[in-house]
Amino acid sequence: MFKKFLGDYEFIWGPVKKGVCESSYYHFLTSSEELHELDITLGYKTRNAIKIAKEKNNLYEQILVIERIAGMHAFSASLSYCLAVEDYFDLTDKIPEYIKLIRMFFAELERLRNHVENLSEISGSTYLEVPSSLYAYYAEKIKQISSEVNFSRYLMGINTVGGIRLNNLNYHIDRIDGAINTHTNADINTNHDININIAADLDTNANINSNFNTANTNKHNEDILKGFEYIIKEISLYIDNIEKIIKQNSETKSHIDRLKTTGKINLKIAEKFHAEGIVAKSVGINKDLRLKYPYLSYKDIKLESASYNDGDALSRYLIRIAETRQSFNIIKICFKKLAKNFHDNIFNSIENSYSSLNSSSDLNLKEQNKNEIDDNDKQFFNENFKNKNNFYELNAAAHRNNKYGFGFSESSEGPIFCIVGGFNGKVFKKLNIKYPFDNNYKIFSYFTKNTMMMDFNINETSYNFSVAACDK
Amino acid sequence: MAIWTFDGLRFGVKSVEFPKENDFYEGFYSYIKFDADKCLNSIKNDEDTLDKNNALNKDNDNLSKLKCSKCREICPTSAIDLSGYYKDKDINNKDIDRIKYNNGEINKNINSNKYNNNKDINKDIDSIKYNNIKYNNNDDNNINDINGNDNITVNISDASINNANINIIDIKKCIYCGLCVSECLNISKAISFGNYIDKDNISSDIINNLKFNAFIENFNKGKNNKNKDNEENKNNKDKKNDSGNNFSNSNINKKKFNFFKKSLFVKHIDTGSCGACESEIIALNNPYYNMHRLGIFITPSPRFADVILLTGVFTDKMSDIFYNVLDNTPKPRFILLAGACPLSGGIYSECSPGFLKYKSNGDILKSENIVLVPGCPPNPFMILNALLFIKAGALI
Repeated sequence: MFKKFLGDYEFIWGPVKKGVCESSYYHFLTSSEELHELDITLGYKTRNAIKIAKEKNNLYEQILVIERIAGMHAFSASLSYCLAVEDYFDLTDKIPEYIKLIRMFFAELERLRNHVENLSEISGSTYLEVPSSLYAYYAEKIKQISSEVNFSRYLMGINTVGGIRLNNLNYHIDRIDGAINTHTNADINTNHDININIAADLDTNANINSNFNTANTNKHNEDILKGFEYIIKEISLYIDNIEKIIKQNSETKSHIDRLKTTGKINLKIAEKFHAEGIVAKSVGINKDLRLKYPYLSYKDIKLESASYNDGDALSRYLIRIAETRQSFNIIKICFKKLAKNFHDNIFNSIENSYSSLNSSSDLNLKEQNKNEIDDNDKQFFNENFKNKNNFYELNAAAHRNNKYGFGFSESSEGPIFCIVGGFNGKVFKKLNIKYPFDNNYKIFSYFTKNTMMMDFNINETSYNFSVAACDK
Repeated sequence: MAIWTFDGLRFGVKSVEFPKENDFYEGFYSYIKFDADKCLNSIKNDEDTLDKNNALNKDNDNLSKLKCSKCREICPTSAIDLSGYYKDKDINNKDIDRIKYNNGEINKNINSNKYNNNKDINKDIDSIKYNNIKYNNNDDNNINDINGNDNITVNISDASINNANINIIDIKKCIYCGLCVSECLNISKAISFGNYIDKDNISSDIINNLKFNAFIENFNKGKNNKNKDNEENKNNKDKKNDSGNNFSNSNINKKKFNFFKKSLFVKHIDTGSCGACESEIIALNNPYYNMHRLGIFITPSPRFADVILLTGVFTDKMSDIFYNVLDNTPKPRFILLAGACPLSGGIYSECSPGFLKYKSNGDILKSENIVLVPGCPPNPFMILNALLFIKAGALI
């Protein structure tokens, strides 16, 4: 297969490798130290994820599939899907700001966790075991906090279409909706997933105690904020320790010298292969979607792009460090904004929704349900709930015009794009999602040629591509 | 000397207390719990609630017998089994839904019930009986064809139905998405999430739940298979430790073996996972879990392995590679299936059925020791506990 010279030999590595890693097949051509050729074959673990997603019954089940394509990027993938669906139904303007802020909060938390985990891998690849285990310890702690608040260590099952679900999905709104509509079995699914999830129910600390008092709204809202505050307090402790590790790592020569000038990338060829994410930023191409096409409320935050021109492993390492600091700052800003605007936003929306509910003639509520609403002040409705009849007309119009919805989000490794179309009444029949790893692993195979065999581990960890996202 | 090695030697990272032998390892863990007492189906003579909650399902006869079946409807992986509740009322009706829902597997129900019932073995057996009654009463040939098992014989008179024994969630299929939790919040709060951290917070039920999360799968119960098993044992007489068929549900107390007296070596294979399971297994080398100090290591080669740790849905391409690895591992050996994907396919169950239902795995399921660790992804504590149980020489 490869052109051989005297002294060259080829060997294969995979699909089952040493340690714990995903299955992919490497074909090397080396002469002792130098690596001449590398051929990567993927596709050992194709699960036909998108085909399965099209056959599901709900929109929420589709989200569950998309989260489990690549588990490390679960939140950003589901976010891109949700944004695409909201684009399809023209809901992007109608989503309240606190939901955007909460989404940003968790997206940045995921980015921070992934970067810290990758820093541990990089320092492990240069045979510094103590800092790598310390980094891993703090990554583990971040996972535990997220499981404490959301009951999932990888932030799965939080996003819904038009809102956020912290494992207490729309506590009261489901029940009211059941009373209003005349149900057929086909309608249940659609109503449940699109219309109702637009409002979010946020029980964070209430979950932990598993005793919630729904009557007291003030307490409830404070609990939510306390949950976020708890996350920030804990993470700020970890960040202080992580900064110490970074400082001490930068003083060790063996660590920095190994990373310098390994796995260098040209700008021309990186552009040719359409490099994305951190690989692109290390060369100097800045494609950060948070800056170029700000999607949630990234407009309001001043972001400075972290980019280097060297294109080696060290620059990728430094970008990761810069982004951990950046994302922690964004988390703090999100919390401040939430604390300021949270009470006003929610209470205003609740009052408006009550007035609209009482005045509207279309919604014939039973007396029991009215009483329930009065008892529980925490529920709130969006404008979509008022215009429920118009909502179906919108859907029909979208169906006629072959409309498509498009959404994107910046994950820790690069942008994730999602396109959606062909709404069936239950589920989108046209669906596709694109991860940054499709481009980046080609660059990886190209630029590992004529490098040292010893540096292969450093190269692999600094790219950090997940095979599962490529195979789907 | 570099700074790190110096500091590492001087201070180190404080590790957790060293667990004693056969000690159960406790830690932070979130799970789904089910209170049978709160569930509407267990409450009798509440016709008002029946009318309220079941207003939607009047068309379907079978569903209308239940007061509430919303959790079953909403579950994306069909992990919730309510068939135990409407058993009493009209057994003889054919329930196509039920057959579809169970996917024709009796073994799954048995094991899920093993998980539910905590301390007493008698309760276990009762619940198994209880679960199997429906199959015996349904004397349709179709069901037996689907199941392919004539193994289980249960006397109806022995059945003692307690609400405490019922657990509707099949943990093999559950992916912990929490849809049933949010659905049940409207109704009765019977299903809910839970967390615990310290020893003081733990009730005995939770510990037992955790313990029963890891269990040996035994496929050799039936009368028909016994002869085959004996033949296999005769063939393998030279190998003393080949005791794959020693475990049985009737002898739960005697699940003890002395294969692994010293350190345990694990070989990991990925057969189509999302990458979350891998990162959980890598996390076992953290200073938080620190698997090394317990004498458990991950090996590069299957020749040194005692346990094969398998993750992901069992794809066609990886199946041959897995058989290759299995041939190279020496006996005695264990296969540890981690995550919902190899157990039932998880969310991908429509396309790929998982390790347990794969076509050509029939012989492996009969002869090998298989340990199951459910979860999506499984908590590292659960994987660690399963490995510790194997190492200690006793499964619960």
